[in-house]
Amino acid sequence: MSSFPYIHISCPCHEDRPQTLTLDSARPITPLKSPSKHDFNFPLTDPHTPTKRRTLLGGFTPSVSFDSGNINLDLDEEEEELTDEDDDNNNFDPRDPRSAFSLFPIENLLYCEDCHQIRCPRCVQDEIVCWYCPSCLFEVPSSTVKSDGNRCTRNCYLCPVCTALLAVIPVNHSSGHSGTHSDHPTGPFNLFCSHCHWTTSDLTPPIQLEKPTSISAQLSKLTHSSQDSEFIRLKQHYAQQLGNAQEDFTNSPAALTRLMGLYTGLGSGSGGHGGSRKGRGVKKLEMKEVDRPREVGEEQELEIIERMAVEGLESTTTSKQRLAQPHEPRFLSDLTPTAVLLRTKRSKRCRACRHILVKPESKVQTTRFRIRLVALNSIPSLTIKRLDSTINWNNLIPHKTHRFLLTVTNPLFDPISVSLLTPRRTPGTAFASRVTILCPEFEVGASTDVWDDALMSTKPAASSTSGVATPPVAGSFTSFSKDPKMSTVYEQKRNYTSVVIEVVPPEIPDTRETRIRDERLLEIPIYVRVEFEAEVDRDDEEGGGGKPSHSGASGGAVQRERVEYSYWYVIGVGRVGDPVEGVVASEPNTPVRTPVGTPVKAPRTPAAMRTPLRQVRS
Amino acid sequence: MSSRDPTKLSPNPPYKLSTAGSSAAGGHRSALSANPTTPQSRFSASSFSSPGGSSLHQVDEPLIFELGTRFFRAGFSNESAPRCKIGITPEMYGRIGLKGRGGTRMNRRTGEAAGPRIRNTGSEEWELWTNDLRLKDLGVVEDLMERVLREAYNKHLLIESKSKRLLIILPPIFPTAIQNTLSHLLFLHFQPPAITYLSSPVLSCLAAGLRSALVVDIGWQETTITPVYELRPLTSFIKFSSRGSKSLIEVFGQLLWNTIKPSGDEESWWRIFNWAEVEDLLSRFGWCKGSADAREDARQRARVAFGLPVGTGEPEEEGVEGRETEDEETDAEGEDIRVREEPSPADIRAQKRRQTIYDAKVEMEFKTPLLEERITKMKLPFEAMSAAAEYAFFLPSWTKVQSFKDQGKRPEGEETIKNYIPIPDIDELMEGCQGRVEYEDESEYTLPYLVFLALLHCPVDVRAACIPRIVITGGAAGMPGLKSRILGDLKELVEERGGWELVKTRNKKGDERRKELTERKEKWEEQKEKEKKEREMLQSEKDNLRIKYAKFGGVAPGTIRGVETMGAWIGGSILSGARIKGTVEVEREKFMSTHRA
Repeated sequence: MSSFPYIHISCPCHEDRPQTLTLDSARPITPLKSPSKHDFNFPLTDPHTPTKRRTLLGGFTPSVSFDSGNINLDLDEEEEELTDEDDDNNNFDPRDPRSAFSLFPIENLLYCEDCHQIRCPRCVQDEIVCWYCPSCLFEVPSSTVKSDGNRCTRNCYLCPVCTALLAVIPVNHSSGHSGTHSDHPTGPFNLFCSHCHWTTSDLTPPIQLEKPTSISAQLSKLTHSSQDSEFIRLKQHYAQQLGNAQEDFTNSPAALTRLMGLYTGLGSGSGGHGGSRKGRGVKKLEMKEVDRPREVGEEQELEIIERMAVEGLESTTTSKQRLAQPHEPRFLSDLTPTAVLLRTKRSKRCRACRHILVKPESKVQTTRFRIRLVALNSIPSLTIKRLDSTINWNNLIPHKTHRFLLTVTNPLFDPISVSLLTPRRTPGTAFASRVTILCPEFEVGASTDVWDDALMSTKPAASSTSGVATPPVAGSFTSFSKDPKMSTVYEQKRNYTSVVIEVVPPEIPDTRETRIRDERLLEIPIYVRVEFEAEVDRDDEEGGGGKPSHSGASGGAVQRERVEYSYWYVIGVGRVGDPVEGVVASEPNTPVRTPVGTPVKAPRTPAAMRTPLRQVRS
Repeated sequence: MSSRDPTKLSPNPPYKLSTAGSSAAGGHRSALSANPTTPQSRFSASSFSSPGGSSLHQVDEPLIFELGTRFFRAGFSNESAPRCKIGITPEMYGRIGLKGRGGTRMNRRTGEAAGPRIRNTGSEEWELWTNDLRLKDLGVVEDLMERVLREAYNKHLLIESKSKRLLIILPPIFPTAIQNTLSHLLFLHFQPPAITYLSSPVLSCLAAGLRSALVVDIGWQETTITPVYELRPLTSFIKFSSRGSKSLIEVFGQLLWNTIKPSGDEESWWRIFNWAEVEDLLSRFGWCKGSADAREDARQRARVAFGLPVGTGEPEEEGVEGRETEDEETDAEGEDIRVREEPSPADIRAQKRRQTIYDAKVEMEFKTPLLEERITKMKLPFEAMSAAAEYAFFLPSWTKVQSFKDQGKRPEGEETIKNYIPIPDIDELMEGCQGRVEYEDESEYTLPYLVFLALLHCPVDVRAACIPRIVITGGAAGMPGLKSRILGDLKELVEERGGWELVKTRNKKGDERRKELTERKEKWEEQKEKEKKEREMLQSEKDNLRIKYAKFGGVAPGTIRGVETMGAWIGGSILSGARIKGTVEVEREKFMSTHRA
């Protein structure tokens, strides 16, 4: 099972892709629009936000309003229905089968600074820097890569049974004493797997090598499959056929007579199959079929069956072993050692603007990169923690309010203002959980030097600019009104800010029989919008978009511009467990939270309800 | 230049499928006889083999991709095997960086079942697409294809995708929507200069060294039977059947589950067993009985249906009726009778082989997380491994899948008839039909019968060319015994039908069988003797013919012969290695310009 919690980011490339529906498949597919259009360098008021397609800001009500806080609850329910419908259209659904292909952990994402866009492995173009063997770290020149079959031609071989690295040892290794290490071992050698003890001597014609070096050359002489020879036979046949034709038409002086003969010959006969028309001069011009094609032989097949019956299941290859071999042998004794597959170091370019995002050092041995624009350095990362350590990620209790601490960390050198939007009910399932972010808009400080943090006194959290997040009507909380800080940020430090997110999972029946999807998995999509004032010190023309461009060398007059971007994050919170006695669905017009005084028999007491929340330092 | 293609490749037009295609062969032939100027197109091949041909593209050799439902193969031209063969697994549908399925699909351990979909057997995660596109989100297919292609390029081919042309081998009938998606995906993400699409039966034919053949491709979702004449697929004569590797595995899984299932448990087999394990076992150890054996089994089942004794079941009681000579040999067959008359070394060898095969046992174990025992062990006779093929390819589709249980072991004759296959109804036997009226569909026919029909419906010239050139390929064709079984059954079928008449003659052989069961033995044997003599005479005549044709190195017309192929991928490899360019090439610039906006 996956370990909770996890946070994935949806690469926006999937929004741009055509929604190919099968029903109107005849319709031509619209190609992708160049993502460079989605530059974020526009004023905030620009209606063409990058998420325009989703019309997110329009039809989307951020779940700031507390369900419980509303006095007119009937109305609220109605509204909720409405917004839910809206949500379905606009929301990112992590359960959609396609989103599995666009969600990535932040570590897997790159960031194109020119497009101001994250780039997933699908949005980049790979360029090979060098080829090398992962086993001996030998760099293979590009000219020989293909002819070598993309495999190491030195001494790196893998066990065909267990894929461990094979060692070259003398055949009479076991009989010789261990003291003979320093001596030059003599005699025939074989390849030995130290993991599963498979050796090349196990093969039906045992393979034994004369020298312990240049194994590839020796092996290629010793192993020769019937498929290869058949392939060569066919190839020769066709080459011959084509060669004949060529000779007849171009080089031969008798071409004309042949051509004449061709017409006369053809008038009489049909397709020229088999040998019925063999031996005539005309025949030579036709493409013939191969001489004695291999016939299906019952005898051979019976032999295989008998061998299977005699040798048993253990002697046959598993599908994995078979796939690793070029000719898919059926029996273990037909396996041959596989040379190690080469690997490449690749540089990656943004597919939209062709800028290099990753460029490794070309030396094989170094792991350094010349350029590496990873998303981790450019977009805020989210982490989620339990506020209450008794919460079991794998067994969330239905109807109980689970509180988690959502932390937004800012990697940028500018302070950012973040707004978190989430559908009030998790989309894509019939068993939606209620999600409430207590403070959806806040600021996160710049990722300045650590010393700055030590020198400066931390800002009080209350000074956060968000006016939206002010708590609603006082007294609407019964149990939480005593904690006024609940609706503000929970904690704010140098470059991260934490807010509380409340999740109330519903009671989810065991849907194993009826549904394909895992209904009990609780994943919360959160739309994170980030705004900040960036110093523009680039002197590229396109990046500015419609902005008045400026010739700013990095030392020159820095112009600040408003940058905004937004992504869907998906938080895998956990799995909802079976309902627990005592924790029941709340009535429609009572707060969703579990009353403090409710006796709860379950071992996992909602302790969070009792432990007072830590006050924000002021 | 393209029209002068010597090998007569007619790749699928890239955007539309020629389902209701004109018979290429028919047109071709008429053109030949009518107009003497056309043959040029047939033989001239001059410029192709000249090194450094006219086109720049010919210099670099293309990559060859073969797109199957279950496996994707990719490699370089002029090589004897693809560089990689990537199987679709459920993990490929999952998220990167997340074990398990991230909510789109349940982990099997905790046991989420598939929903109420049509023919859902949990297989849809093991395939790239389904032919029934109503149920498939094409976007997912695209995403998955992208993932597979990226793996092939980055892990196995180790080549920059922009540099190489592509040659893509597709099944003869391929959904246009998917082909469109594929082209778009490739041009957008991988940017090859051009793509050529080729149809797989032609290449299978090429890889067998033939120019005409009946290509029986036993694929994952379906079996396609394509007549190829002069390297042109006759698309209007293609036959389809939903009997394929997938149904093979489904049947096998069902058999296994039925064996250990407690009564009343309605659980589906693919939730109990891991699909991969079942597939793996079948690919390792599945086999197919020979024609003669299967016929004998069917006969025994028929005897049971009529209440006649089987083998050594109750030998004494039914002595009058029983064929005591045969009783000593269980599952004895016609050839074995002859063995006793004149045992030759080959026959003894065959007998011995049968003995080893039927005595062998297989031990296997499966992970069954949903059952009480987490690991279920089974010990089955080796013969059981052949039952799945019977159901999947050779029994009427309404046959109810039984189990491997050893029920009702009789004390004396341990070797009673194996009940892996149900005893048919008497009515069914009497009707002796290939399909029931209510199931009338090509998928319901047994595979040999469908091959027979495919040949029967071909134009007579094509049929003449195809009968001695039957190429059986595809994933399940690797199962030992299957090819010769199909051919053997086909031979039998033709003999029974008495040729290639469209109108079926009276079922003589069936009559005899019934006679054998109902009438007295002596009479029947007399008749059999007579028939045997006739057959021998016929045989000797045929032999004469054969000798005559053998001189020319060919086969007599009308001889059913199977030819081994190296597979469509190899065909593509040979073809592009010979620098033969397809007639239709989809170029990137053109495609992107027409498909923009």
